[in-house]
Amino acid sequence: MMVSFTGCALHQTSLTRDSEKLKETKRVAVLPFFNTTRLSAEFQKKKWMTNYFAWTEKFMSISKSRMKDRFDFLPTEEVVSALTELGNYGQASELKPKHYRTGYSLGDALKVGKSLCADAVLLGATTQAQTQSAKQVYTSAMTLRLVDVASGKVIWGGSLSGKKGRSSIISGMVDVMKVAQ
Amino acid sequence: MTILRSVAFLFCASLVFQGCATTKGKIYSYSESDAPDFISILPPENFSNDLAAPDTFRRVMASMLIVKGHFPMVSPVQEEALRKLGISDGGQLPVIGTRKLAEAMGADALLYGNVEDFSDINVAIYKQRKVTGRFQLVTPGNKLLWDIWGRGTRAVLVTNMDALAQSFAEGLATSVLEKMLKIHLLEETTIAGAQMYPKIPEWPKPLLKTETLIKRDIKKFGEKVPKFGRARKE
Repeated sequence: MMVSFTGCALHQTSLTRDSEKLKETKRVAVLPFFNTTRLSAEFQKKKWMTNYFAWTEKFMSISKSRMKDRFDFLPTEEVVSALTELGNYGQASELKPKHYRTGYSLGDALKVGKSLCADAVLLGATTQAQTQSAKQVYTSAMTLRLVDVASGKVIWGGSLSGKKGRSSIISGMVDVMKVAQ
Repeated sequence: MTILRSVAFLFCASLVFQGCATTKGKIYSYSESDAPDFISILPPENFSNDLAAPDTFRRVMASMLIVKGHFPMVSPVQEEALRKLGISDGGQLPVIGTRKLAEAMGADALLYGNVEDFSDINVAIYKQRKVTGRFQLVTPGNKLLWDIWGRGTRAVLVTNMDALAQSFAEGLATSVLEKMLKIHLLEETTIAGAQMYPKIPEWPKPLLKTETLIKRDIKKFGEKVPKFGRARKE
């Protein structure tokens, strides 16, 4: 099932690849979202520029209230702790709280999901326009993939982009996910 | 001085036209089953002298893909996976088959690229910032889906001789500050990205206007898909 809207300068998509699995999915581990805005700094290991949690935290706070009957989101601390234990992610000890380095493979994400007994992991990628040229195309955008922990296959995917701020995009994205069937 | 101003006007006008160039790219194939859930943005081969160029381009391409609904995979962890395959630079990628690479990166498609230009010239009377990049989306089976390219240029010719020193210093300071903030030539790279943007099909199904472009391109180029890359194997 696919839905796509383009009204109000927003482009939104939602695609369910496995509706049966989506119905069964309850426990979801939300991995810290990728943020392209900080990517160059990240590649060059600039620790002071690596706060990735703004988008993830906002998404968690909205989705916990709006989707509490639909999904059981695992606490972020548990997810990050499981991710850090894998050794590929974080270097949390080197950095200030909440300043983790991004990056995990799909395999890492699935391992985290398994270790926390989650049904699925939710991966996200986000961006915000930083230049005048980018602002002519978009202001903020995010894309999500809900991946089945057992099979590693995408259950549902969605995205939202347009000339709206971060909060509006996250709020809209939660609504898109909430009605996915 | 009047002649100099006229020359400067014509020069700037030509640059404006360069910036308004039409969409650059070719879509060779598209079907919903080709719509990849995860795209690995591989380090582009860097033909410029600036070591930061590939990362700036990857950052812009990742943003453009997200806006189109795709999920780009690009982070130091993916770099580590490439290092394990013996790849430390985009130029080395052709030695690894696309299927093996896609598997290692956990992606359904691979975005290869070239940075052809990434330059910042400042010689007081004339300042030019120019970037050029080209990117190709390839399936694990080495099927070329689309090939897009773009150029971002901004140039200034200083006509006021009294302001030469100031202009030179400003250009220098801008470059230093941008490099410190990791945004050197980001504006120009985004201009290049915006030229490629219309030819990136939306995930999972293209919008009507993109679909028109896709149909037109496939009719025009679909029969003539070039061999992708330098002896790149599946």
